[in-house]
Amino acid sequence: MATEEEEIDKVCPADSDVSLEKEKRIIGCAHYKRRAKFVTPCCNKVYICRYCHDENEQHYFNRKTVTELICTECDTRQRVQEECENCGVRFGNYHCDGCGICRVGGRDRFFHCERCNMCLPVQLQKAGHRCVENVSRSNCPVCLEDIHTSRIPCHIPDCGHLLHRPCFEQLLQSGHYACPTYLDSEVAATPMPPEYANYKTTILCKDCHKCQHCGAYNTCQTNGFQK
Amino acid sequence: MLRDRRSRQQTVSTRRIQKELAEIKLDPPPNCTASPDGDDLYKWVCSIEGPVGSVYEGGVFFVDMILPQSYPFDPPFVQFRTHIYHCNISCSAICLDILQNNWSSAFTIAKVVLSICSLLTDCNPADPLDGGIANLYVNDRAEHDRIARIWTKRYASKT
Repeated sequence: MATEEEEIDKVCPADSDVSLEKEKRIIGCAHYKRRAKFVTPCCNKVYICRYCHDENEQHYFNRKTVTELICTECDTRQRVQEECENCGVRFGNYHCDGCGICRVGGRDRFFHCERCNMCLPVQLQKAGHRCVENVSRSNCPVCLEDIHTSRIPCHIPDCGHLLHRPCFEQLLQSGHYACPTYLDSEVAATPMPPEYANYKTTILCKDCHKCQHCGAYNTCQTNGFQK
Repeated sequence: MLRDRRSRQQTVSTRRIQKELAEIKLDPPPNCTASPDGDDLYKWVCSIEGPVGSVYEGGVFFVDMILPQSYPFDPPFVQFRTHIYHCNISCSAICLDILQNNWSSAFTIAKVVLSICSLLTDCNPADPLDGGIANLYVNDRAEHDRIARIWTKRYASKT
């Protein structure tokens, strides 16, 4: 038999439970931390993110077709915008107009490179990076998944091409040190095994096709070894 | 640890192959087909139409492709099922750089098939698998082409 206090607790949870419930709402879903749900024009359902939609439906969702959001704090249905028109809560971390999507990680930690056409860490702005036009608009060369809208962190080799960090780590584990998009970053740091130290071979440079002094590692072997 | 890495690699591999299959269905390479042999995602059967203007024109060549569990980190094993008179192709192997030293995980099954197509158009007698055919190609091109056409008609004819 439950006491009166226990009955009250069932109806009115303690403050900690309320804040926990609120925290759950803030978190959003397993994929994104956001305070908005969207109405899908394709099937007229409500989802927190496109991944949640794709996991539950038999078709894929085009995020650019969204016209309506629902605030998770006050349940107000509204047009697509950064802040709720009713309670003023900010839906995502920051929206990058150049990328055309909301990014996570904080605006102060990233800058948008116009030529690469993507947000990059500010460290690269100071240190300098090799621009590759629309680099993130291609798929990861290992898993073939989209890079631009991916939540998986990226590895940016010296050549400027992009691949997912886990994919890059698997490449290294498999003994591949060259960038799969034909430009190399890791070979320079790999010491030559002593047994091959005095071997020579003819190579073709895929960057300049002729010289032997451009310093690139983007090469292939054209004949056997000679001592 | 090693088992964990292998299973993770297999997951990457399977997802990658499924993605390639979906893309091939959506946008198949010209004059070629490629699809898994039954339910096994790691065993593919491809067909290549002899390129127009080449000595293999009018023929259809069937190719078996075995993808390793470590795909796309390692290249597929490719084998011609149809007899072909070509200095870089024997019954058990293909002499194509992207299937050996120059493999990159950026290559796809479709790109491999297209590379084989271009090998049919332009063979490489400087790096042959069959020295006799390469020798004939260099020294008596007309005779080489005549034999290649006969083989195509005999072994790879559509009818």
